[in-house]
Amino acid sequence: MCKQGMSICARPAGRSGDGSSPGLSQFNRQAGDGPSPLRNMGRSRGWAAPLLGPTLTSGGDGERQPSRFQILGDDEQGVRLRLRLGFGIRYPRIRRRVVYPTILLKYWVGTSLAVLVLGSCSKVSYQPSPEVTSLGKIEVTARLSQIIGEFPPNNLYDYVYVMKYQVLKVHRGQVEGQEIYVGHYNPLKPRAQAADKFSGKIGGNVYRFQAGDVHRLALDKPLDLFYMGGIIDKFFKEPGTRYWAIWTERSPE
Amino acid sequence: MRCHCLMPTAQCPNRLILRGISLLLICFSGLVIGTAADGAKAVGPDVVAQSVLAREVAKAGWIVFSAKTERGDWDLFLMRPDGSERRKITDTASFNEAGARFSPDGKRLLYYRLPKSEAVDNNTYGKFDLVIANATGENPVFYGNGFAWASWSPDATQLACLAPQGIQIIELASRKVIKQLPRQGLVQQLIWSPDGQWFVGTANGLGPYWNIARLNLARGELNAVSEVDRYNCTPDWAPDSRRIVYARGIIPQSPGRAELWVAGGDGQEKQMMYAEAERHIYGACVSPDGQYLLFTRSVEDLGRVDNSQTTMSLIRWKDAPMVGDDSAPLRQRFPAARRGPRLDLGGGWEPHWTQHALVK
Repeated sequence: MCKQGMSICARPAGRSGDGSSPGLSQFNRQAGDGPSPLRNMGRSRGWAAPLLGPTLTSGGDGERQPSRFQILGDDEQGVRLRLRLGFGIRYPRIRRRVVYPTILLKYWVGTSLAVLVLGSCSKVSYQPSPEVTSLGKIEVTARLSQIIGEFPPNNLYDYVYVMKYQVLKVHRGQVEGQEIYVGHYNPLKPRAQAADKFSGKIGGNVYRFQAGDVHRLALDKPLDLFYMGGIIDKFFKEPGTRYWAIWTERSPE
Repeated sequence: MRCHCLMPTAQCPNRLILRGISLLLICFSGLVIGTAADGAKAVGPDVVAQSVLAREVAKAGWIVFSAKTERGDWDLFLMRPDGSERRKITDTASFNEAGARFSPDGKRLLYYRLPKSEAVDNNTYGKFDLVIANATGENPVFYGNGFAWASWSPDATQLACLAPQGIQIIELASRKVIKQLPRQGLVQQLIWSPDGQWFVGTANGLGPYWNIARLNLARGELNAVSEVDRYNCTPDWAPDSRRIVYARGIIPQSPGRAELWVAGGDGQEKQMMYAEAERHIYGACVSPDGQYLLFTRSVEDLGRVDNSQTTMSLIRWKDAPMVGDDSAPLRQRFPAARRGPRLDLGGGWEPHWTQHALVK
């Protein structure tokens, strides 16, 4: 196990008595064997080892091979390698250990665990913004249950598009029923970029709208009072108030 | 005229000349007759018919419109209905002027002024600053924001405007709101009828998209005028206050072009008046005597007018329905449509027509 990070060291065979392994024969050197056949490769300053392990091919001619390992040098204690993980981070080198499979396995497991932990922590750590808790007269957490049709492009005109939501929780004000119809201004634009002189203050962190997402919404009504322009409402035959979306955030359920 | 010389015809220069003139007259007459007999077969500009149309309208009042200048801003222009006497009446490098309309008495103009940086747009020009000036553009009075989509009352002493709270009737002299009624979905391009009893405009809520609606002032009743399964916009009244012309737009994500249609105020008797396969038709305006239709033709769809290659044209009402090109699909939809004549009036957008002489 490398102590200093994700690096590979080639351990000369025989020193720990564990014998050599295929592919590591180059490292099976004894005192007096002369310079490591990898010396030239290290001098080439290239990535000298293939991806899947410290299996080095001919090292005598300094042939460079694409690799994630860089040979830093070799001495009587062994060959010093540095593992490059593909995103520009270099870890301190460790001598004397061949731990590649174990290290990489632990790296990926660790990363995956970190992602899971962060993801689960996001549910616990979600804090609604000051805007969503204060703007408008109504605040709900709701699931976007239906979008009918496609959003037209914005190259010819601005518009509001009405979508259907299933209310999960009402935080402020009152809504009519469990299903509400909410108009979003220029829904092709991320909420943070949607506001203009004709919409007034609107915003949020929703980047795009897709059915199934859960949003925390600051609303007002009726929609027609807050936006005087073209409205696309494919639910026009359905009765019910149309709400104007002021602030729209992604929310955990 | 007869030549009395004794020379054979083939040698007599006078007779040869006479014969040549006769042949030319016969050919010309045939061309005129052939064109007049069946306009649908005419291909390409019909110069003679256009000239006749131009002479009919040359002195029939004035047209005001917006056009893009060499500086890149949009100014107001006046011209005769035949396209002559074209001249600029605003000259503001920092602003665009749009949506000009003569008062019913022809003495004044209302229009909207927007910063040059703002796009000139069918759907938004009426949300900017209102200006009222003389019909020649002189003595402009700045009214500012808060008079969205203003329309003249029949006596030109009031304006009807759209506000979030409703339709506001504003007394011009005092600029005060003297009456307010619910908009019922009307959102833009509001026009007061010549008889003062109705409003027409573009409205939400009648279908999935925005459509043409008529509102009775006294009863507050709203009805759809256009079809409701597609976009419709830019309405205007015929002088009889019974018929409404408008742009019948497209169904979104479907092919097609906007066409000029007319309908009764109750939404009945819809009829195509003018269409082209390669142009979008918007901004219809009926002449004050009800005999002609003025409109714009755009290569690109509106919305935003820049780069749309928008020009103005005029046809006789009695020559409609008319298809302006040789489109087979349009000919199939409208087999009785004529081919012309159409008088082209050059570049411009949102024209309006007055029959009155201009007074400074």
